[in-house]
Amino acid sequence: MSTVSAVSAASAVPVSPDSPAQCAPSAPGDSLMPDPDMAALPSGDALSLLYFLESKDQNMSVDEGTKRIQGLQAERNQSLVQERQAIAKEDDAVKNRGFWGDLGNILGDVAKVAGIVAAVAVTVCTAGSAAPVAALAIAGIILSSASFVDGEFHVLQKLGVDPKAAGWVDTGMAVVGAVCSFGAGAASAGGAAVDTASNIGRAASVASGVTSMAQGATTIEVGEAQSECDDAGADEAQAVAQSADGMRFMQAVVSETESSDDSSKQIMATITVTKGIQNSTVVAAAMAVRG
Amino acid sequence: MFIAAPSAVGSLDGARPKSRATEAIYAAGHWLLFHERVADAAEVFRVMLKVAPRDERAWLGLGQCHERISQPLIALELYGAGSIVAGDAVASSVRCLLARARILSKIGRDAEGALDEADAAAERTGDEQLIALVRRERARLS
Repeated sequence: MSTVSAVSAASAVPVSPDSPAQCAPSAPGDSLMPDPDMAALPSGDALSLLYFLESKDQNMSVDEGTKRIQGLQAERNQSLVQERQAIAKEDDAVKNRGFWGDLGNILGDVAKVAGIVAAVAVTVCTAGSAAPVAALAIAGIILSSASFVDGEFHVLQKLGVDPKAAGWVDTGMAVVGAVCSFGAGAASAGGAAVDTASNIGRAASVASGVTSMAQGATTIEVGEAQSECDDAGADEAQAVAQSADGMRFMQAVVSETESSDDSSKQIMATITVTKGIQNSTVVAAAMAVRG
Repeated sequence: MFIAAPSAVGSLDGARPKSRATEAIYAAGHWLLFHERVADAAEVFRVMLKVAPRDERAWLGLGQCHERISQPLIALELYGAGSIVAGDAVASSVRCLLARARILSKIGRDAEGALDEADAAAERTGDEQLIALVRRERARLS
């Protein structure tokens, strides 16, 4: 199996059929992407690319990156467990609350995910060391893979999250994006990492402020809802369902990160296998030449 | 032509010399993208982001994947993050800043600020090619 087909197999995400014009190839001169540095490779053929992907240097980089990623995943998983426990407690209490109360929980989930990545952005600009850089790279990967999958396939809805809740996921991403954008602009303009961190921190505060406001609004609504409609058996059912949606939302984000890592491993594993085939082929060819 | 000469590619991220493996990953992603295998290219560029997060080409490549599927806002954020991460002590990533300017222009927002940032960053690097690239881009977007 070639790398290209392996990569293709690893990815089940099609290009959006809704945007054929956007899918047209760009004129090479129109792209800001530099040409690959083919001089760094002995030849431009695909087999050579595979060979170099198998190099020791690559393995070291991947191992190092994988360790960092695993560390971050462990933190995220821990957060997820805590979140589940908190939601389980909320589930116990939710029977006494209405629809609006649970809406607040969902918004809280969105804020939490946004907050995690915002915190990553702050760390990057404060420390500037390799690990936070990797963390921001992972944030970018989450941003990319989540939007690819959710935008194209509506995976969250398939998991049972209703369209409203799935829309909030995008809201969360937008909040994260706003923080990153703000940081980028501030970094370029100010040029000082401390200023950038400060600016990003403020942006993050604004972002969480927005969601806090939303939560505050729902808290007010809780009071009204409880006083006005304790007859809401239907609301209770909906609230329980929405709480489950919140858990699914968190799980989906974590899963996105994990599946992204799995794809990386899958690609690397395929490369290893192909390298073995290449070596066998070279030996066979050499023997044939010798007669 | 906005494509950097191969000899200049090695110094674009300003952080460390690129390994041949990184070059190979980029070459694979570039090939996939320019053969319209956008989703496959995105997978490869995500791997590149993990392996070489300071390499601006990974951010540019992944951003371009999102542009191709009409997700300019995601691309905008990726270019923004890339301009921080792929930059060095001297300046932010000029190409990421230019890519941001392009998107901003495409979605009808003011791109002047981003162009100014790119201009300043290019001046700080002292790289004539980058300075010329920014000038051409400014003329193109104006």
